[in-house]
Amino acid sequence: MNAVLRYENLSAFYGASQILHGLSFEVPAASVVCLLGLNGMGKTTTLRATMGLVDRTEGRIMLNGRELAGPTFRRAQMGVTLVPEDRKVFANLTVEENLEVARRPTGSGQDFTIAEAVKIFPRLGERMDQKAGTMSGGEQQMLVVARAMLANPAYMMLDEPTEGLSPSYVGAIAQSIEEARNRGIGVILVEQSIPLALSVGDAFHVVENGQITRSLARDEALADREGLERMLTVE
Amino acid sequence: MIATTLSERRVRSRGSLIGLAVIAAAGLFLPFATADQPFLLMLASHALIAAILALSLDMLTGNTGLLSFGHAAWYGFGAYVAGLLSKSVSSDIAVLVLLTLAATLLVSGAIGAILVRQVGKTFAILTLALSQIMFALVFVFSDITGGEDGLQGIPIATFFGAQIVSPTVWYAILLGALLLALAGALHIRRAPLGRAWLAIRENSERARFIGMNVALLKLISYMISASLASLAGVLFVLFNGATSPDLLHWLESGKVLMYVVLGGVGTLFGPVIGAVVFTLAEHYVSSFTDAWLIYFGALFVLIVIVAPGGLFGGAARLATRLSARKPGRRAAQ
Repeated sequence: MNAVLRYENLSAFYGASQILHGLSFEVPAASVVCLLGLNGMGKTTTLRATMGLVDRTEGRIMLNGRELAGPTFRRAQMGVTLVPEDRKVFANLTVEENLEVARRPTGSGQDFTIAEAVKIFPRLGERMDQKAGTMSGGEQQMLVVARAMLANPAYMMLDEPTEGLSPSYVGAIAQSIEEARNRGIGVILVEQSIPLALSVGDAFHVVENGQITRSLARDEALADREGLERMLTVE
Repeated sequence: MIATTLSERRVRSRGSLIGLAVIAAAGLFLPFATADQPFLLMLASHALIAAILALSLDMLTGNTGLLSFGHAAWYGFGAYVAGLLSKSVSSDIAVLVLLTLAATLLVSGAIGAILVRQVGKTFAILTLALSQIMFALVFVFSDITGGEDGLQGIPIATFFGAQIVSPTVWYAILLGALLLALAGALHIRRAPLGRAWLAIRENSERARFIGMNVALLKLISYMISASLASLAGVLFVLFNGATSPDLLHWLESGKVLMYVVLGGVGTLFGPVIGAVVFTLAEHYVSSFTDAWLIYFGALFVLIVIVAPGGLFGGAARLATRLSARKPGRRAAQ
């Protein structure tokens, strides 16, 4: 069976409010799937539902043929991890401690290592003994992405990882996404920045009012760049 | 850079070893300095028990951020269980320690499984309720526990048949127990388990995102912490020859919390220092005035506001500042 994260008619609720209305899409291994859309359309809720962080769901999320269910830590142990929008490093631990605490060896010999994280994010190497909470926002974002990769997930979800970052940091985040894909990790990227999404994405889904209203392959998205940018512009 | 980090880690590790060595040296020196004042050795022994108790709370609050208002519950539990066992099963200190710790692990595991699913104020209030329930149980089962009079007539503790009566031997046992507990706590802090606890303290939701079973890790912390407090209770009852319900009272829990805050939450060495300073100051200040608790309360408020890192945190910050000012050190860097 091919490795895949599959959303089957997923609906999600916060209390009585239904946020997602029967989402269906899939994320093959070693691919980057981008969820695009305006704020409040259900992109983040999709990621939170994957981690078991919404009040109630209907439908199923299948991970390599097994239903993804149970408490958040169990889902993470099954192979999904989330880098939320608000970053939140372990502020009083050093950078190195943040990375070490996230390491989840798989015994495959292919594990992502701290040295590899430092290769992608050299700035982290320079800050190893610094308390993570004292770093800049961009550096903290690098740290949480590196931390997520060190857990050796099968699937990594990034929620607007470049929001508020300078171009140099955006480049490093893009490189980390490429690295994840090269390692066979499937990535779900929620992103408002069309240039970044187009630079790394393999497939694109437009989410509106909790539903996927449009799905595009990479070629189609590149051909309709202006249309996508227009869609993300609030009038 | 990784090499630098490893060297930094060695420095931190060396710092801990030096800290342990200083406590061991000071502890070993004390009996010689107090040879003609047995009371001081007795006071120091009580300070060592208080230090183990303080360390036990720091293993919970300092590691996982769970604040207990009723930590004395396990101190009293250990004292009563060991006291009852010594009267009915064995007076051997090793047997009593092992049996009491087994009982503590069992009971704290069952209670902790419910408690650690609560956070913040709810957890703190529940721990307070637990200590008051244990306090009440002493009176409910007064025919076994001695009720208000406490558990009296504890046999003299033995070790492989030899009675432990010398205050100096008791002092050595208590010092050894503290050093072992502190070394264990420092080792766990650096191990993956300790790092995981610190991550949970910082942000339990993010810890779940990277696959940590937060409830289980908190439970382990709670059980270790309870066991250490229980050990302090065992040592207290055997050293003292009796115990009373006061050990379970919320005032005792408040005192343990003061040891930890005074010394520095999460610093491991700090609470040990805080307990020793508090015990000595309690004795000397209370001999001058009956209102000593007012002064201690004021000191507590002052520490929380001025030095949230406590005595140890403040001293460490000062040392860092002074070492950064040394011109030679900067040049070397």
